[in-house]
Amino acid sequence: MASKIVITGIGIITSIGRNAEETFHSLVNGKSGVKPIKILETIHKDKFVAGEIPLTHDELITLSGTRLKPPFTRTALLGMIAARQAWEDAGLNMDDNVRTGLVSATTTGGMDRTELHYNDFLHKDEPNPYIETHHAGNSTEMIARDLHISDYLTTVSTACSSSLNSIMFGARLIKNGIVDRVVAGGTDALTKFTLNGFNTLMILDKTLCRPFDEQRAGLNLGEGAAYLVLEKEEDARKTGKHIYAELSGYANANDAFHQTASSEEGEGPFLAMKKALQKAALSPDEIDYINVHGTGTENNDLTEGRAMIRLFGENMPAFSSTKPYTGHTLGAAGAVESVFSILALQNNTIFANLNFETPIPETGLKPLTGVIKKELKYVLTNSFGFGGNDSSIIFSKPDVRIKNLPEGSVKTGMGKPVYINGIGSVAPQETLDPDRFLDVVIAVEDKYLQIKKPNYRDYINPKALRRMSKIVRMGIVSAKTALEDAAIEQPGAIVTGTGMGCQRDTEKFLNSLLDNHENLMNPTAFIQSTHNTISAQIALMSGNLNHNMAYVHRTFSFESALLDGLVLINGNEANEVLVGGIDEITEESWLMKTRLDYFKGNPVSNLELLGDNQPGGMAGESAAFFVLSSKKTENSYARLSGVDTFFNPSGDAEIKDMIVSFLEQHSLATSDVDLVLLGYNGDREFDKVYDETAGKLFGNNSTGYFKHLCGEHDTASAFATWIAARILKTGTIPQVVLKTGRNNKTVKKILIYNHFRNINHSLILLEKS
Amino acid sequence: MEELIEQLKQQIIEQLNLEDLEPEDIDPEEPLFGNGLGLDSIDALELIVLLEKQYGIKIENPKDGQKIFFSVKSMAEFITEHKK
Repeated sequence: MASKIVITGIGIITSIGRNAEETFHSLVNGKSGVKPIKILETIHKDKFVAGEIPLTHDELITLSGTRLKPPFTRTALLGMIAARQAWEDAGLNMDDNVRTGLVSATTTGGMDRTELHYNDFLHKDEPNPYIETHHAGNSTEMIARDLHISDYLTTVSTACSSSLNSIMFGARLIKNGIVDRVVAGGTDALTKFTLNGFNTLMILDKTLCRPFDEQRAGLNLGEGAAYLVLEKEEDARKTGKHIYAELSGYANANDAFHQTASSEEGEGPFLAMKKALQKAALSPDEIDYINVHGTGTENNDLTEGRAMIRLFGENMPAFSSTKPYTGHTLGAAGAVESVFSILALQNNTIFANLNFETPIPETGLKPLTGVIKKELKYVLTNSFGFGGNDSSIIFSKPDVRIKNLPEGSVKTGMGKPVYINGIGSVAPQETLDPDRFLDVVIAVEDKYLQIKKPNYRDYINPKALRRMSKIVRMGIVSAKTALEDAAIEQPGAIVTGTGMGCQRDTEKFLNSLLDNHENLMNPTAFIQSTHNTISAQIALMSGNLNHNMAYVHRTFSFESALLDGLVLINGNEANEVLVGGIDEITEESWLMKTRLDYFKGNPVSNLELLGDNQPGGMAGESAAFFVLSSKKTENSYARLSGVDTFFNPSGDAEIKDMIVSFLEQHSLATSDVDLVLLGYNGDREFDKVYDETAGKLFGNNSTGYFKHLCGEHDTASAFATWIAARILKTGTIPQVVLKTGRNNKTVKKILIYNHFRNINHSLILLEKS
Repeated sequence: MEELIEQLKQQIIEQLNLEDLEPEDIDPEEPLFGNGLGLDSIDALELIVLLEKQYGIKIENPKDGQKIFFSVKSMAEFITEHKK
């Protein structure tokens, strides 16, 4: 019997308060934080209002009380402040040896500093510290370091629904035995990038936003962070902790209609709410209050309203949008409004929907316009994002629920077997011809490795193709290939991992922002720059309405996506899951990272990579997708037996322990592994870690490597997984992959071990099916 | 007007990345959205930027775009009327 998940701690910072108490005070007194912009240096200061936290960078550092050293992004600082509150509120410390995870969401990542320094990144030949803080996983790692969390961490980025999705994944991690408690939420700072981005979409209201009002004219942006501590109910009871609420239902669905707009009848929002109710085993009339997404845009409020009418009919629960208090805090919004929902439950109080006067004629729906006191048992909160990413969560008062559904454990390998039934990859090698398997290797002497370009028109119609940058094209070709290979049209979920996301689109928008001084910018690059663009486009092209997710945590990205796939199948939430890892190389991203010695600065021959003396790895790119399934078929490549990630281990001894204990969980000794694929990238300093750990543990086994074929990038392990799957199916190890040992024995078990600069380590285990 | 129409076709193809099209493929009276050229709401936003960048004409309400961007011809007429 799986446990109920309860909330034992909350933390929040937004423009209406620096903690839960101040927040509640503002909410019941109708006090909005949406005001003229003061801190953000933008030319639009006098044009737009925003829910800006009235604290400077230095004031935030002081408020955070952190002992960590700079550089800090604003996004990280907000996250550190809110996560610490939740942590302390739940009375946690890391001395009790309870396995603890952190799942954090963000859409802007380090953009608040990047946009201030980007010209220096490109033009000054020096290691600007903010190059490192740009990636989306940075804020998560800062929070993890601040709180000493290292058992599990990852980052979610699915536009405006991001942090409801991080809370959901946190719950699944606990239910599947990955960890015992999770800090989950999200953080996003106000940036020029997002302000100008939403401005190009012409959906910013210059006055206070008016959700669900006939005269609504768009949203106000905001910033903030919020986190919840999720624990098993019995653990919370054992320690006598205050329980705020139970997390009783949650679901994500995809609208698969348009990149930015919701479908007319709100199909995605309807499905998200409906599935969340099913998960909680509740009927619609049991919901007491809905904290709606209610951004104040014409499209959202109309379609969300229609979806609510479809689900609740005549028995519409009391509802309100709290966006007029905080503005839209993007990746933090789901967590911020989860805290609001929990505060509502705790205090039996529903907050007013400010600025409402006249209902939308098409729906006639009236949100609550005054604060009311009412006994609340079940509260639903919605967050919907670009790419049709729609999520709903239900919180309930502790003790009101009895129903509970069993789930198995993935961590111990005791879960359901999961098979890889289809694969597809676009890489710097010939990967799309099913009859070839790295028999002829593409040798390159260059600054970085680039994909062998497929004929995109064979896969994507020209109308859709015209807006897609390279990474989206690579993803779609790989995804389609994997689905066709598995003969699956509609997987039960689509999950992607990408360390850097759509870099080219981000660069395009950023450069135009800086070059044109925030004037006359184009919307397309902004829309495409969201991290879930690839998973959303796959869903859009195939009309897939199911769970759609994007993990964006450096070299944990693909591994997080794999784990999500495993837990979805294990929890009977999907039978087939399309999982992929994808990253692109761009000239600008390569240049910046040569300044940090992450990438080699001078041309190098990929086939002589390990002899190169320059610091850094040889940069590269690839996409690799897999159809995971609970059923073995004739086409099965391998069994995906396990995946695990480790953050910031203390040294080689700890890494060896982690590898051994990972294998033990799957009842294997090191000698049982036939082939170990290692992430050697030609960076002598960090390649040593493989020699000292895996080299010592697997001295007598065959070892192989792969980054001379695809280059270094955050999701290179996805390409390694593609190689491993093919080896297990074909029974041959391509000579070019083999590093030590012989290739004449039958390979039944392959372990992939990869690490990023000795910080992010990951293991993937595949076995012959 | 003829000259402006030809210029607009070229600019639309470039701005919207319509790689497959040549200016002569676009009928100036054919609808740009829906069944005609098949443009969508994101393209409409791009056209608003195009008008401001190339012709100095600012459109504040995206809803106004529906009429202005009905066809290349209607765009040309609007530009002729409003150009500073």
